[in-house]
Amino acid sequence: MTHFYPGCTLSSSGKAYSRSLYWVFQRLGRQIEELPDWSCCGATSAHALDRDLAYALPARNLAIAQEMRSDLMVACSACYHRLKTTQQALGNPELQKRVQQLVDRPLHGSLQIKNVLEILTEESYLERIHQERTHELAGLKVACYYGCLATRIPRVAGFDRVENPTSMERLASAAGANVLHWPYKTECCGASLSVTNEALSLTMCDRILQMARRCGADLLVTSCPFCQYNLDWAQWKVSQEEAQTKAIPVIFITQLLGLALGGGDKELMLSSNLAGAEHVLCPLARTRQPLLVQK
Amino acid sequence: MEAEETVAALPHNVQRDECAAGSFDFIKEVEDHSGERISRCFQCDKCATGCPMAEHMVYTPNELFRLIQLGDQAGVLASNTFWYCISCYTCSVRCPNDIDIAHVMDSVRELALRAGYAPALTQARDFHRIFLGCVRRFGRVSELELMARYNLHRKRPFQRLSLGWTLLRKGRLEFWPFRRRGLRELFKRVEELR
Repeated sequence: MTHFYPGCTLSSSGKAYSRSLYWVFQRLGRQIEELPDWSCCGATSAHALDRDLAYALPARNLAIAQEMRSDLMVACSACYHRLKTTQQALGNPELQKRVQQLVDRPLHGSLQIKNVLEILTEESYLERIHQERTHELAGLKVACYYGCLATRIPRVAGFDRVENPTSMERLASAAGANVLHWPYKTECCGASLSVTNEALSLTMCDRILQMARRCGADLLVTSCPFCQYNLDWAQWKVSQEEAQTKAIPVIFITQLLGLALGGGDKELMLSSNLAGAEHVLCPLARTRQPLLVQK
Repeated sequence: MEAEETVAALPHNVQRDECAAGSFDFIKEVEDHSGERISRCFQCDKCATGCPMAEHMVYTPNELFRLIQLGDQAGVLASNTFWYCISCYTCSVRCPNDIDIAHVMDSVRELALRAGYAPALTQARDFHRIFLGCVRRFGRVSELELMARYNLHRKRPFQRLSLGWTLLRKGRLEFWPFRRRGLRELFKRVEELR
């Protein structure tokens, strides 16, 4: 059994991720169940200030899953990073005892924590996505952006390569998009800097966006709600102050898959983008061609 | 506005000759707290080369590690390195000596706060505190609440109003996304253990 750990962001600024994810999985015939009574993983804030909280908050969720003898599927890169890091750290018996005391739940047994990308890139899903496409994306030049946390987990064997991950490229190709190879796919977007230090955050996002523009991307695709928000926000912010060069919409990988599988704005929340949604996505969603030749 | 605070954190005179005579207590404290072996660092500079924030740091991560090795407690804890670290973990996965550098930054930040050093980025500390306050009260974080509290704290209640409105209009903010019990007991146990 696998439960879904959505994380806090997927209920507000990353809502398009959760809605499109549920839709895509339903379309692929998999029912998703949310982990009951899940709580925040502490994101970057817990480990920034308090070592005990940094482990206790994710561990509470691990304990719930373990009690249910369930594995976890995680969408948000930060949640995934925290849960994986905690699981690895709890291998130390001393720390495990300490955290167990804090969580006040038994912490034993093993469970698998899987990233959404890891599940979607399983052969069966890749093949089904490719075969069950209903709409053509071939004209769309897509740059995949992973950000930091999905693959950079010290001492944990991840689901993809650390320096050059390719799972989203595999998914986007299966969906029929034109995949670009570009150098900034694991650069950092600045995470919570967009709140605490706007100027700095804008510079970091701008570097990434400029490179995407220079490589000729129509779309940036990501699997991290913070990356999506920051890159989207940065373009919106700039457009408020100056006439901007064409915005590059930043969407979630599940939105892209949804587009290929025939989803519309209602199912995929395509118009929830702050920047550029109206330029590329909505016309695309209306006019994209149904596949003429089914394989 | 941000620049002021950065500059304030810059000047502090490290007498390198003096710290060479420093004790091993500090490196032991950092190693115990983080569980990482700082003594393994041999200054290859890979962490600094890959760090997206290095240009804003008074000491790059490897320089900070050298100061820890030399026992310069005050120089380390007063620096801005760990406040500018945004936990992208590039350094940690590239370190040839398998030191989880980003994790050490967390430890040093905790030690600095505990020892009463003023943070180089006050906003970052406040943001994290407010974030954890939300987790304590509701167990999950509502972004609307988080931003409202952060703005009130910064005494700029109307900042980002147009952004908030746009997000709301686009269906990306919820007033009450969660109704659940907080995690007060867990937080209390953490505080008692400290």
